[in-house]
Amino acid sequence: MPEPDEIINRELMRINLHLPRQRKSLSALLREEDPSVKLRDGSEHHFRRQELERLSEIIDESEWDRLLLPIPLEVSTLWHGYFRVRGRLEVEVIEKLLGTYDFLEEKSEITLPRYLLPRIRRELPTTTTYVFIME
Amino acid sequence: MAEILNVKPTRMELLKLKKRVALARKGHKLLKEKQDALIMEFFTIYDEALQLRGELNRKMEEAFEVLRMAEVEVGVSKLKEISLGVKPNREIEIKRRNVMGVPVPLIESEGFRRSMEDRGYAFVSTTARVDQVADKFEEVLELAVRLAEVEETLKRLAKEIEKTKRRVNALEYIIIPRMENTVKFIKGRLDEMERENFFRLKRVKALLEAKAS
Repeated sequence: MPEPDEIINRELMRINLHLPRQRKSLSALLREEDPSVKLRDGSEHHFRRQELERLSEIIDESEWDRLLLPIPLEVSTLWHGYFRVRGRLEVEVIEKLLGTYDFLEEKSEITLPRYLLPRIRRELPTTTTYVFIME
Repeated sequence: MAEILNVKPTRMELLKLKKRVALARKGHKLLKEKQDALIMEFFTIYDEALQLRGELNRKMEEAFEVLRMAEVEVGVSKLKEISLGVKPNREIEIKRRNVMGVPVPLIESEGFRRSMEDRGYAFVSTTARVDQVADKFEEVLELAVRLAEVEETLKRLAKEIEKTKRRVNALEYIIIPRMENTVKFIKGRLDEMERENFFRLKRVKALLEAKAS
């Protein structure tokens, strides 16, 4: 029988295996016939084309190359009840989705209450992903 | 009552165990976060499933109503004859997406609605009601496929929630308390050994003093 430490370590290793090995840009995904990324566990994660098209309407065409997908929604052990989004374009997408975007403020990081997560996940289920951070 | 681990009561073990308790607490916190996120995701999809199920029921009723009217208008045997000429709809491709380590199906549920020419039955020998029936049932098909995806996702998420909950509970009620009890036991044992040592020294000192005098 495995030791408890072994189980805990395995769980901690497993918890972020659903993250992509390398994120792809929106423009690259739009060009693909079957848009997908390879995950750390070796499996494939497919994107819904509708969502990609929605994102392409949200942000300017000149920035399609810089928006990397899926967008990580960071859940940390430090702030229970909140999640964080990092990256200027990622923040812009999330804020536009929530209707709180202000073009005068160029934020590169936002911390939002967790009750907003269902709203984001309902709109972008394949182009966002959870990241669990142990701090 | 949680038992204690089978370790030697030494200072080295105590230090090791304290590190293990810290790791277990962190692991527990992280798994709890995952469990919360999974539950949140589950209920988001659950709402969607409920809404889709309601919509599907409504569309089915409408479709069968139109079918009944078509049967009256065209006749059952004629309608069956027309249906034999209908080409099969497009095949669906089931892809995968990943939600916190749970592989769930992803189906592009669009493109089931076809034009009259694509359906394949004779345009001249049928009526507008028949086209209406086909339209309605294609709508139903689209919704049914979408609902299948959502309900399968729900099932898989529920299984993962159960698994995560079991792990969180094992950490919270068995592993961490057992480790904490062991820490307490080792501390007590070390204190006891220190007291024994102190008492022994006192006895030796008293004996030496008695011998000297």
